[in-house]
Order: sequence, then structure tokens, then C-alpha cells
Amino acid sequence: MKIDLSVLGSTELISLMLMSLYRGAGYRRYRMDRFEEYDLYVKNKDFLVSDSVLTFTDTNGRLMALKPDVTLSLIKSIRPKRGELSRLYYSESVYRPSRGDNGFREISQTGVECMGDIDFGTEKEILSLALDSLSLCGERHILEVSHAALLSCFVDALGISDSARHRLMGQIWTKNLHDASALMASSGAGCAASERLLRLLDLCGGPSEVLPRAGELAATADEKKHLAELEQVCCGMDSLQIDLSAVSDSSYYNGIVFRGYVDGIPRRVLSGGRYDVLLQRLGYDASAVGFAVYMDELERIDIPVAALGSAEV
Amino acid sequence: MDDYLNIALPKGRLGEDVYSLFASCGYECDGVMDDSRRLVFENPERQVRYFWVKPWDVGVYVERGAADIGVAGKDTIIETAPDVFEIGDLRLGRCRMACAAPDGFTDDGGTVLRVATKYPNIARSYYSSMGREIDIVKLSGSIEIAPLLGLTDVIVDIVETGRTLRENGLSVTDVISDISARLIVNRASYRFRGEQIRELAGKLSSRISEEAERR
Repeated sequence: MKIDLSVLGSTELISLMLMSLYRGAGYRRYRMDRFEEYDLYVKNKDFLVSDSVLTFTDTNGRLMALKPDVTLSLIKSIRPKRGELSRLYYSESVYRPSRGDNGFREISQTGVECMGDIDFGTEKEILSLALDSLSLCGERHILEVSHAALLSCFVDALGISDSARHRLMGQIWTKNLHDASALMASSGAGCAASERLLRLLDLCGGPSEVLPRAGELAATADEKKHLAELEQVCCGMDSLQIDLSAVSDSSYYNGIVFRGYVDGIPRRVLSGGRYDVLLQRLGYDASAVGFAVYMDELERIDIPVAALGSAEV
Repeated sequence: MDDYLNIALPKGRLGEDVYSLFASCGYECDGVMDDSRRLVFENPERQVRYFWVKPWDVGVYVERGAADIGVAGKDTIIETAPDVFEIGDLRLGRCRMACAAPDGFTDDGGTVLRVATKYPNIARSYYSSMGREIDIVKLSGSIEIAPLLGLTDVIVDIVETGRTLRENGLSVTDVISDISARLIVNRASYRFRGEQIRELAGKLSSRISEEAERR
């Protein structure tokens, strides 16, 4: 039977293309239940985009939630361990508060996760898949990469209090360097450490341009180690954009973090990173890296569906 | 999509000062300051498009990409927390976010403190940092009148010269933060039009420093 592909909307089509891409790269589909025990989110609230979760009581009296996130449930189902590597992709709905009002929205996400033994090769593979995913969404796209632990080292060197650090990370996330400078000065941060951080945050561009300059700033063994990791992962991928300030204040990411943008779409369409810390918090001694593509951001994208013709099934 | 840089300006006196600053850096545009009902203005040579929006809406226009950049008061940025970059302090429209109370008022902590404000998020965050239980009365304007009529005990609002407070028998009891106009940028626009945006931000920053030195 022939199916006319023009019956599909842009997001349905992109989702199919993404799943085909991931399957072709050797990833296995993982399907999940729509519900999860609320307890999982209570314990890991700071991993979620929002504290608000849609809950209900099931027939056994257990408090359940409509999933606000896919990764936590995936970890729970896979039970990752050392000596193995699970390569999975999914296409699922999550339920999150909408920004414009007090209601909730169903958001469709398609993504990949690698869990178990992760090496630089796996991280490179994930970055490469992220770039290919963005290519399917739009010709002009940018994948911006940073390193959570590297930025953390530079911030640790300031020797400021936890509350000042939390505020500073928020300012870094919004590139608000004018308020960040004032905060560092008023929080007793050392001048040299503050200056060094501001110079790091100013670095933005391709890996071959930015990483050597970051190398001039890295002082401690840990900083040099994290920078070497970033160099190894980004090596040969000149289309990446390095922006070392692009790290949200999440304690779960410990290595590379990245976000993808497509020209014409105002928000990030893809985000991901290395999150070993989350696995450890959930009691698994393993590593993980992955990303999600936010299909709701792609609804208005112009894909010439009609030009695709039909598919034989 | 064209190559114009879309700039959202806040309607009102602050917006006019902001436009003058942009124009002095070479980003002028005919008609922006004319007394008309038009809201959108273009300069094809400079590839800039200005539009006037309500000051509280600038963050939304920029976050959702209708504007690449915009200028918003720090008060509205803190209150509405748009997901944007805040890349510059234009040092215009400077004032303070403050708590004020009727002269002689002391908060003995014995009752829930009633707070009138246009900024419920800022007020809640400030008092919760002190562990003080409050009852927020959200108003749209003329906040100073609330304690005078017994509607609330105190207010949280922006204070410029303090004259309105004084004339209504109120005085500042605490300053929450300094406020000024900030240059905000859409996260995706910063990626795709970074050069154009950084050039503009650099020129604005130089002009602001020159002005500060001149004073």
C-alpha cells in the first residue's frame, strides 16, 4: 500500500525521520508507560524543568504522575551498569506546565540515550547524531557545546558562598556579565579568579579557535583534564560552536552539555549532555549521555512534505 | 525571513531615551519619535526595525523571537523571568526596587504582613528569604495609596526620587535591588545574528562609558 506523506504534519514527519536516523545508527527503540510513580520526581525535583507535576491517584491508591520527563524513567527501566552499553531512542509525550498560563501542555520529545560504559567515541557519536538531527530540522542550525565540570572548576576557584554561587550561575546562564562582575566583587571572590572566569565566559566560536584560548586560562589539573575531554570530543567537528558559559545550574550534568538551535525558531530545539551524577544519585554505577529533540518547537517549521511523495508499506 | 534586526522598545519616556541612545550609535530610523499611531519603523539602510510595545511585554516579544533584541527594565525582567540573554546595562531609567512603609511603622512580626505591589514574585522572594509570612495584594498602579487606606501595611515598588513616597507619608525601609534598563537578546538570535548584535552592544557600551566620563 502507498501512503501519501503529505498527510503528515511537520512534527510527525520530523519525528519519523529522526527515529529512522537513530535506528540506522544502531539504536533500539524503547517504549515507556505514560505514567510513573510520583515518588521518583519528588526525589529528583532539581533535575526537572519545573517543580509542577500532573498527579493522580491510581486504583491501588498510589500517587502517580503523568511523566514530566523521559530520562528518569528510562534510567529506572534500563538499570544501567558498567561493562555494558545500551543505545536507545524514544519518541514519547511529556507533560509540563505551559509558560503562558497556569495549565499543562503535552509535549512530544524524540531523543537518544547511551547508558553504561561511555567513552569519548560514544560522546562524539552522540554529538554527531545531534548535528544530523538538527540538519533534518533546518539547513541553518547551530549546536552549541560547553562543559559543566570545567565551568564548575572556574566557579569553585572564586571561593564564594553557595547562595552567591547559585545566583552567579543564573547570571552566567543569561550572559549577564555586568551583574556577575558586581556579585563576584561583593561576595569576596578573588580578583584574579574573577577575571579568569570572565575571560572564559567571553570565549565563543569554533573549537579550533576557542579551545586553545581556554587552554591558556586553565590552571589546575582538573581544569586541564576537563578541557582535554572537551578537546577530544570536539576534535574534527568544526561545525560545533563552543560557548563555555552555556551551562544551566544543574548539579546533574558533569561533562559535555549542548543545545541545538535552528534558524527561525526562537528557542532551543535540542538539548542534552553527560549526566553520570544523575545515575549515581539513582544508585547506578555507570555513565550516560543523551539528548532530546523538542518536537513542540518544530510545529511551525517549513518542511516541503508534498515534495516527499509517498511511502510504500 | 529578512535580515533586519528587530528591536522592541518599551513605550514611554524610557523607550524614547533608549531610542536616542541607539540613534546616537548610528541606528537611527525615521519616524520612530514622531507623534503618530504607527508602531513599526524600518531603516532599510541600517537593516533595523524598531517597534513600540508595552514595557511589561518586551521580555515576551524577545523570548518568543518576535524581536531579536529589546530593552526592558530590570524590574520587569526579575518579575517575569523571560528566558533570554541579558547582555548589557544601559544605565538609563535608574531607580531602586524597595519596601516602603508609613512613617513610624514597625513590623513587630506578630501578624501576617500585608504587602501591596505590582511585583508579587519579587515581593514573595524577598520576604521568603527572611522567612516572613506575607499576604500579597496585587495592584496595577498607585501602590502608595494602599497603606494610607489601611489596605496593606507596607508596599514593594520602584522608587526613583522618593518624592511620591514622601508626599504620601511613606519612607523606604529596605532596598531590594538597583534597577536600570537592560539590553536583552533572544537566545537563538544571539546564535544566528551574534556578530550584528555584539557590534550593536559594543557601540552602546562605548557610548554609555563616554557619557559616564563626561558627567
